[in-house]
Amino acid sequence: MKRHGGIFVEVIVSILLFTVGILALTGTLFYGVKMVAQSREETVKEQEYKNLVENQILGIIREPSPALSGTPLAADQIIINSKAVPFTLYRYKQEGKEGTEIYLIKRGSTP
Amino acid sequence: MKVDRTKREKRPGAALIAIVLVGFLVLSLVSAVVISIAWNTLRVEAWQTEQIEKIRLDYLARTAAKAVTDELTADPDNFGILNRNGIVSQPKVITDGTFSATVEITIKGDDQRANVVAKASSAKGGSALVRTTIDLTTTPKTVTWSAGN
Repeated sequence: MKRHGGIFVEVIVSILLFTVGILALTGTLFYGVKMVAQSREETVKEQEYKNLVENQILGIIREPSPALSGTPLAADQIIINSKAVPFTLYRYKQEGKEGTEIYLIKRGSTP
Repeated sequence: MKVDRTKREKRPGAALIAIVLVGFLVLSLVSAVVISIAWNTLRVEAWQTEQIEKIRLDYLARTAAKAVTDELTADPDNFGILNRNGIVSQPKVITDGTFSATVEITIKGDDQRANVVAKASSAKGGSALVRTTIDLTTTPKTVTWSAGN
């Protein structure tokens, strides 16, 4: 007894597998394009953050009492030859990115 | 891969083996490429972490040197009479979350000029050194910056 439709099933299965493969490839392609676009935005954000911190350092060096946009942490002091140099530590962080914290010291009043 | 027709007819599984082998080869190549990309990404990330640590320490040293330089500019005898052996600060440990660094200041000089050396070193082993030289003979006092040893 002959079995009709065997080739049809094979073709259907192969088309199905082919479609899955093509969809996976398309997905990969879109993901790659998305990643490239995100990477561009990320680089711009990173550069803006670095510029901000550089500007703040310039402010500290050039101005007597600069206004800093970082988060002030507890006031502290460095002891040199039993004399205290009071300072405040400022923390900067790139929004939404861990491990990007940068700290600046600003001379300030005694805690 | 070409499989001889007579052989294929004698052994019906030969073509399938060939297809499987070619598939295996292609998959191996694709896997090798993916592993290579992942490995390079990890290397770049490690490099970036190292760079941010260097920047962090450099900025800490720069701003610490600035704070002490300002004190010295206002009053050169603020920390005692300057000498060539150096006045060394107590190590200041700065911690925030997982970050920890030690800042040390050394002041050397005489009545003509003063050197402030700020060293920031992290628990991970990195360090940054920033030096300022204050010319005490001029009005206003001029400050020269340098970095490194």
